[in-house]
Amino acid sequence: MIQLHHQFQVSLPVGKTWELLTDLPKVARCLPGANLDDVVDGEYRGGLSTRIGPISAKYKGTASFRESDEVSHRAVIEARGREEKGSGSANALITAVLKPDGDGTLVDVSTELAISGRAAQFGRSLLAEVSNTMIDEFVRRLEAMIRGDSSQTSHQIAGTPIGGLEVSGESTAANSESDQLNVLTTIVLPMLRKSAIPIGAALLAGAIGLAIGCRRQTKSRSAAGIPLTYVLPYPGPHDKRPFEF
Amino acid sequence: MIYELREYVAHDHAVQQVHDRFDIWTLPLFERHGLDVVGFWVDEQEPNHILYLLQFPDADAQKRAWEGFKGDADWIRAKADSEAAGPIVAQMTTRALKPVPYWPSEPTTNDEGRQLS
Repeated sequence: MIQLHHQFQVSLPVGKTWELLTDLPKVARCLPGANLDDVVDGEYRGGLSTRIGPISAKYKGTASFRESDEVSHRAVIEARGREEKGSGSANALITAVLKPDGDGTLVDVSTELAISGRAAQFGRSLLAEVSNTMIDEFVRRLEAMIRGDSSQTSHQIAGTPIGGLEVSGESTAANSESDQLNVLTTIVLPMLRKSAIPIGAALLAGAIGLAIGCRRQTKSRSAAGIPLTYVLPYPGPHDKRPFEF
Repeated sequence: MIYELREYVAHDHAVQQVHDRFDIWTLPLFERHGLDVVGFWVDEQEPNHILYLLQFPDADAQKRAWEGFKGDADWIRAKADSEAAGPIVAQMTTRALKPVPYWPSEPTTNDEGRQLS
């Protein structure tokens, strides 16, 4: 079980934010890679797509409110998903609490995530990065939706009335395909960029070491060369399996 | 006066446990913290759906009452004990109710102050 915690601000009063965030068909369009196909007896059915480079993974599943407290502005959502191809699963219990924050709202989200299959091999750090990136993008799109900037989400909601459930599964799936979270470009590369300074420092240190080694070699021809190994923090498992999510 | 409607959906195996928790623990604690119950019902077609209506003088009183109840050590213990073998409530929904203009928001009284509705 992985515990994740996020906070974000929404530029609407708490009542309006509650109304918006509990309208799952509406907010699902703000979550990268997500699509909502249907709702039956309070159970929302849909999917989530992610991609790392050329490899993608799709989850199909359901979400339902376990708690929806309009007075305390607290919602608990249970989401269960299975990989369309493969035996992996991802289950989440998401607790969101909304509090007034000036003229806006502070949203506090705690997630208990249980994940199995290939995605589990990425471990807590990368999954936390994935969730951070998804939340960041979700908030960006949510704010765009609040501003009425439909261009931010129009590619996801073409033909879908706001707040409506008459979503064409086919078009939504297609939209979702183009919209899915690209973990390689959005997470792994930024992580590598973040690592650029330590990697650069390591390379510099290695070069200095090599130079010193060469100087020593110059002085003493019998000295051995210095082997250099650079360990990148990410991506990927150390086995030969493809890097998939 | 403001009203709050709460609906609990009990797990099929735990309907009586939810009723018992309301009866033995929740209602005395509601009284302790000023949570004024108007009535309790179950859905005729789906008896595992338990509904009750609360009334409060205003939003501040509502907030204070809930904070007092949720922080009460007796409630925390009662909740934990009742869920020791697993969750007994599958779903919970709370609705804040607003009055409509075509219905009096306060109980109607006659000249002698007796309640008519």
